[in-house]
Amino acid sequence: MLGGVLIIAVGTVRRMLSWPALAVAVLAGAGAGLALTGLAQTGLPATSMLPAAYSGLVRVLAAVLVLPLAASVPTAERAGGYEQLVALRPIASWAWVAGRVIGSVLGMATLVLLLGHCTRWVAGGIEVPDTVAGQRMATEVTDPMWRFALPAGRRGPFDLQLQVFARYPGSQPLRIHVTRGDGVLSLAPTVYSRPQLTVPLPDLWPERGDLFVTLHPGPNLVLGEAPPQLGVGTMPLSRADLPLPTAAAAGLLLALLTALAAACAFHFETACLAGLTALAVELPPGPLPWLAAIALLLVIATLGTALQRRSAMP
Amino acid sequence: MPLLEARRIGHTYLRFPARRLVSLHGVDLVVERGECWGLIGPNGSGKSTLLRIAAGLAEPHAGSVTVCGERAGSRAAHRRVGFVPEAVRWPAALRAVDVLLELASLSGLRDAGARVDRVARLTGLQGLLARRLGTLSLGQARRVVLAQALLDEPELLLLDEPFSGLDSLVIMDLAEHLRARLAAGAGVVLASHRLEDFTALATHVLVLRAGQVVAAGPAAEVLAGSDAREGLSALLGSSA
Repeated sequence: MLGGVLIIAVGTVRRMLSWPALAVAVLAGAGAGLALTGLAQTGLPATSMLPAAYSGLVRVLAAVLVLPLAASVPTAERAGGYEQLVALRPIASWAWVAGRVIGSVLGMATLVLLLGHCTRWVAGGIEVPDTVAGQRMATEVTDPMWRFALPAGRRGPFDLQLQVFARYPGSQPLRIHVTRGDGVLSLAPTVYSRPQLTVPLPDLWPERGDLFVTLHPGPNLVLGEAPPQLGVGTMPLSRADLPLPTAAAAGLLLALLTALAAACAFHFETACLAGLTALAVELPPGPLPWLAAIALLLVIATLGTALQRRSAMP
Repeated sequence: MPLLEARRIGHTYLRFPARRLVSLHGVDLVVERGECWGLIGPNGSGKSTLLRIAAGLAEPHAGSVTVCGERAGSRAAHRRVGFVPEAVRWPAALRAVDVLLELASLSGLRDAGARVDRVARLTGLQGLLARRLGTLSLGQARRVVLAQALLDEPELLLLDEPFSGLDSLVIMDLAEHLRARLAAGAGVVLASHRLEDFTALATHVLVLRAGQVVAAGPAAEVLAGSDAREGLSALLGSSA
């Protein structure tokens, strides 16, 4: 019986990893990489959020690619009559399901890895803005001082990015003092123009060490709560900075099993919908709920397969 | 013990909402070793349903079916049956040889490769084994369906429109092979709506119309005489 499981598993992998599916995974990965590159160049999202954006993108694409593929294997075979030929062979329904599950998981893992690595390959190495978040030094609410730990060897000018809101329309001056080592510089008052303000700051070379910035908002200006950022140039995005979404693997696996279980008894569309719905389900923490859910899905898949092979052939 | 024994088979398709289509009603079919039964009938007469019930792929709503004394659908019965469904849409991305090897392995055949080669020769598939199934023509794909049924040399062959789409040379080869299988003690049930498919092979004929047996018996008797043949032709032609 284990031989039957292996044969079905290999057959499922072959069906899932057809050339068109592999090509779609590569193209989707490359497309995601290009999209990520474009976003990074425009500064959306912030550099610190790129790994999260990458993980989210890969997770969504993996779900869109893998779930229909996994659902299509049993439903297409049933609709096409191929399942009848397997049903006549001496293989138990549980072994059939086990083979399909193993094959689908292997197929999914291959496609997701391919997709994720293609995205990393395209997006990795691009130049992205390097920013340093300010650390608040003074406790005064009106005139706060921010400390920026500058990376060694970076030369200015730097871009100070901060949020400023005006209580009333009209010109609102913002005065900025910059300190580094013994160097002190008061910038000309900056006129408020929009909530996201970018102000070029000198590096006060040859002074070394951290940069301290004191903000003196005018009477009708309110500083945003988010700490200001200091753009200190660009840096190449390392491929290691884009980790594969391993945290999402469990959710994707559950969605895959749901789609597969539904596909063993129902139509393709129903199976896809079930899989996508499962993506939104959050199970309670701990291994027990996961084991129970997986066991339940396997039982549903086995029952569905057994019913279909008995009487629901085309 | 007969190879196939179907007694008073009844089958009904349920269609939503609350619509029942009687596909078979009180059909008897007993196939002994060395017999080839031809199922003749117009489209929708129940031929395919009867074959699927005999193969154990559908449950009769009345009556009983056994294959060599085993309940149809049981694993023991499946081992003795080779089935050619009316239509199979193959997984397009797979190669013919992969599918045949997969099915041979699932049947538990140890010499799967040699079996595949043998049925490929028999069905004229030698040059097509490496081709992807999606690239095969209708007739070529039909040969793959036939080949999978012959893989484990089953005692009972259930063939639903086996020759449709095949060229005459392949039909002749297959008919010769089927005759050899019959001589070796196998049984064949062959469904078709073409009379000429039966003349060369069928030892017995069962004529179905609207799920009921119109005539049954030795082919020589049922098909004998021009009147009977014209009557059957008219029966089949009226459904076209």
